[in-house]
Amino acid sequence: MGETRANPAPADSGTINSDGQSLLSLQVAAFFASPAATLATVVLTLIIVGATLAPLIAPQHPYDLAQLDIMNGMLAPGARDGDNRLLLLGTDEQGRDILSAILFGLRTSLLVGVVSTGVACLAGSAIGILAAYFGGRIDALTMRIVDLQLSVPSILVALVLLAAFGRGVDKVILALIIVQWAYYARAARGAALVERNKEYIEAARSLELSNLQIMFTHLLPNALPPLIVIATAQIAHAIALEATLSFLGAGVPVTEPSLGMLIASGYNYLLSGQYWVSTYPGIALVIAVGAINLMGDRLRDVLNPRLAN
Amino acid sequence: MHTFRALIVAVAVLAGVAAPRPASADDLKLGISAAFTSLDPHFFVATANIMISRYMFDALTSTNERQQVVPALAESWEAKDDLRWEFKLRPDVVFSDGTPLTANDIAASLARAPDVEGSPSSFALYTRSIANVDVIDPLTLVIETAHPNPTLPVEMSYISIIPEKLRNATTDAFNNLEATIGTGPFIPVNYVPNDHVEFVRNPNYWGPAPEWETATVRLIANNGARSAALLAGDVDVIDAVPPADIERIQASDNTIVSAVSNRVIFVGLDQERDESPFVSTPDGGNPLKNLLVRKALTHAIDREAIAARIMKGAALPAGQFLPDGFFGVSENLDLPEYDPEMARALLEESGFADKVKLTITGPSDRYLNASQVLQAIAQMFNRIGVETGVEMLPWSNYVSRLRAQEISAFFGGWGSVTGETGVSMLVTTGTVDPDRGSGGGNRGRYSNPDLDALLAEAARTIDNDARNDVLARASELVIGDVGLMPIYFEITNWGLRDGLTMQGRADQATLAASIRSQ
Amino acid sequence: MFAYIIRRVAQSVFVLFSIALLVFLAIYAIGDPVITLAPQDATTAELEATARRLGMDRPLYQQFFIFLSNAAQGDFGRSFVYGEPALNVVLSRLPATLELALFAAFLAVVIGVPLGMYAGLKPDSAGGKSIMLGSILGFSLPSFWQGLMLILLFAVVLRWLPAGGRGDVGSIWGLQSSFFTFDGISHLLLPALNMALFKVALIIRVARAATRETIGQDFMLFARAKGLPPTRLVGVHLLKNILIPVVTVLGLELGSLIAFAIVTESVFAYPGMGKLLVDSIGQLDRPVIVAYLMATVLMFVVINLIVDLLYAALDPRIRLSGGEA
Repeated sequence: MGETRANPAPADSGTINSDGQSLLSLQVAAFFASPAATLATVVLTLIIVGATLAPLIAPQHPYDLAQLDIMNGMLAPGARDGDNRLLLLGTDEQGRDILSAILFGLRTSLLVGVVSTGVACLAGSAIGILAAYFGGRIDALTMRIVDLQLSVPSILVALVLLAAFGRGVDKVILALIIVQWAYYARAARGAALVERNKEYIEAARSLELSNLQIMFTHLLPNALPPLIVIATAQIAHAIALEATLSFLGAGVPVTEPSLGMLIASGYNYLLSGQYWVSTYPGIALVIAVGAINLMGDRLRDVLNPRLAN
Repeated sequence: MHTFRALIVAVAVLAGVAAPRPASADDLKLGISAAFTSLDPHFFVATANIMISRYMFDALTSTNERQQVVPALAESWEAKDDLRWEFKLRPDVVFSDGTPLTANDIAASLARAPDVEGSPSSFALYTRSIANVDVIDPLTLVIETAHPNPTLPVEMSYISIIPEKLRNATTDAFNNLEATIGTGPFIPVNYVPNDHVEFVRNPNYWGPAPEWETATVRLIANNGARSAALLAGDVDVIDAVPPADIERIQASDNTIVSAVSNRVIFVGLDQERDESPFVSTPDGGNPLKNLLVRKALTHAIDREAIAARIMKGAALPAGQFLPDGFFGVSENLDLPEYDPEMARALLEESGFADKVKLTITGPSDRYLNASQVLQAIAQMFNRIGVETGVEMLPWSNYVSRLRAQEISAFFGGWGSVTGETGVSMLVTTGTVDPDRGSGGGNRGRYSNPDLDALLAEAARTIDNDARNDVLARASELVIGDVGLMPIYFEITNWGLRDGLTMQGRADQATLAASIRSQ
Repeated sequence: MFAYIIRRVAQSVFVLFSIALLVFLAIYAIGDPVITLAPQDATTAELEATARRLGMDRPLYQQFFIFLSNAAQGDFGRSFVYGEPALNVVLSRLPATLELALFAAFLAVVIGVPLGMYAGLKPDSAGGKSIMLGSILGFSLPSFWQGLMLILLFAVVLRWLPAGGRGDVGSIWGLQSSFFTFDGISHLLLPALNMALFKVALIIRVARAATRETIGQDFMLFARAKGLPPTRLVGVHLLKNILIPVVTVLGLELGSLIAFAIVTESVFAYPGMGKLLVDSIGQLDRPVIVAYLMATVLMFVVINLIVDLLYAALDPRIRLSGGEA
């Protein structure tokens, strides 16, 4: 029992380590055995650092209208603005420095992706585990709601919700939580159902541990790995969904463009050859989403040894 | 590639499939930006619906490129007195099914237009002044209005004339082409809602025959896709060319035709309430009630820069309600001078320097480049020390907020349907009175009894010169009070395949009948 | 089995009811269709007349119950904007979107299966690895951006394919479709490819996983030992075994293809259902929004049900029970 607690790997992973190394360190080593995953981790770390430090390192505060001047609008990459500052990636029509906008946009994208996925994962898993643990009517009712949620495509729900909520980063996050929680509820319930009938849970029950204690100290850690895998992929999905929603005109405020909104507004200039407004944020988005997907992919292989040779 | 193509065509032909139609010089394909929703000409007062109606139907009167009234089904008209207008119909006009046009058809159309079942927005707007319609003889009718209405002739240009027998036709009957019997230049042969209409030339058309045997009007709402469709040769003409694509379209052997529209884009300010939700100062109160603050704001806006940098020439800086040359425009009003120094001084004088915080609200899906323009205006306000933010909302949400007065400064547009400044001022700056339809767009609730009196005077002045003077004086009054801040007039750009020519229209309509090859 | 289907149907009715309620509340929260559609200079009397014509003059709960009782008889009301029965407006767009989704699914299989098989057979080769990396890129490209790039390249620069819209519709045996004309197919190619790329990535992964699972199995080892030629081994035995998971995944993804057609249809100005939804939300055309969501969800539910039933039919070990499905 104690061993299960310290070891968050699924009980059926079948990995038994003979040389005394912990499973976790083996998994970490396996993860970094892939050059692509290693590169992705490095890139993502750089992106996170850049996005976090954006207010300090960005040449301009792209969300502060007082710092922008339309007379510097649509300058090509490498041009200089009225104050002779170099604009590495050019400006949009507001005179917004694209490099700064990308750094701030990444901030928004990551914030939306991580917070919405994190909250959805926590709330969804908790609901799923509760449903699995109590079973019966509570379980049935919860799963009906999950089915309801999953039977409507996420983008449609998000569009309708955002039409009703209005614009704002907080509203986008809320909408994305609402469209995502059900995945986790279903996955967590599935994982917890498998665990529920295992001996150690029986043992815990016979020790008369409280329901909550059993659920969160025993069921949750064991149901975690599949959830982590889903969550990693979902962060990328949430970032892409936010970009798509902003493109369709429902999303973050126009004065605080996310990557999706930058691409959407630059979209108007693509045909005329002013490619930079849309292209560079597009590349940034692809790199960020791609890095997360690569890591998620590797994580799945490592945590799910059955698929990885 | 060629063999592959030939192979596919051969297979397709063998399989009994329609081979690709050769594009003929007699076909015209148009890509337009605004959605048309029905072929029933009385169903929905939307610009695109009215435009499509003009392909199939005529009205008593019509308007030319500069939106001046010209004869159409009515050969001539005159005001018998302040309330009665006599219209003489053009003889020998027949509908596309061969029946001759008579005054009874006009009466039936005027009766049907204001109340079509299921209509989301009716043409009652243009018939509400009518008290009675008298058919004198088959080619003469008298329209009696409830009050003097000098703009009746232009309002009549919006009411499409259908045959009397279709007085009770349903919208469905029009949409499935049973009832699309008109006197216009084209006859629809295929209609896919929200996608396209195909027309063929009406052989019985009374006017000059259109050059095109067939015309297909396709809805391409997406800006990029519309430009791409022209560049790729899918369509011959597009309207509302996105400003950013003008150069590229000209560079690739296409022609751009431009026309200043009758649509003024403006920013309105809440100048009625003592507390307004999106404007604040440390001491409370609504600084926008202060004339000096409003003057400071209007002088802070660099209209020329917005027209050049953001609209890329698709806008004409505006200082009043309609461009020069339109009816009721004042010659004494110049463009408000862009002078940030003066603006700061005015703010200083008002006692609100560096104290005002403001959010401007605008619709994101209604006007070209609205969010970019609004951000640029916010930049300029910030520069004179008014901390300004921007909030963009979908139109549906925006109008609800406007109605609930949950705004302090707002971005709007008004296209003058009559080509005169009178209605524009009545709607956007007249004292709010929804029962009369006055001040319907006056969300800042500017109210000036002198202006109301002038507008009322204009509304009963049938004499054109006299009315022009009254409206010019009214314009000077509103602009002097900064009742609202005109920013620019939209310039509509059309993109045409090389070899085609057309006259750009102030009402932004794209009419196949007036497009010609050179 | 029968009880299972009944249960699923009841569940679907509940889903549809909830969606209708949600849409009514959401539209109410967004704004008033009468004001949205009216000209700004409409008088109070004209607005009231419009509200009456649209049935918006009653309290919301009454509107909802009127809608429910009509919907039970198959009448979803008339579109505010098009003046036609809302269901007709939606269904008239269905063929266009279905064509797009099916063509995209077809492209996804044609491109994805061979690449996935290759990656599965040679997982450590440079080709196999690049295919897997490429599939991650496929997951990561924002489809609206990718769409414009495709237009830029194939329609504007190369001029090989039209930039957007739907092509001519031909008919064979009374069936109308743009599959039957050259023009129709040429219009479908770019948007379908745009929609397919994401699914290609997915199919590659499914095909690869299935390939690797299959080649390790006894019958494959046995067949190889028996000296079956590799082409037959891969072309027949392997292909047969990986097609089941591929088809299952595609079936499940068809619903999301239809839903995400919104983006592609917006970029390519393609007159499908997705574009209709975006327009209708903008105009608060409630009957069309409700009818659209009902139709889409119903398709989603039916597809899921069919996939579940097929599953059960193919694999007797799977027992059908409502909760686990």
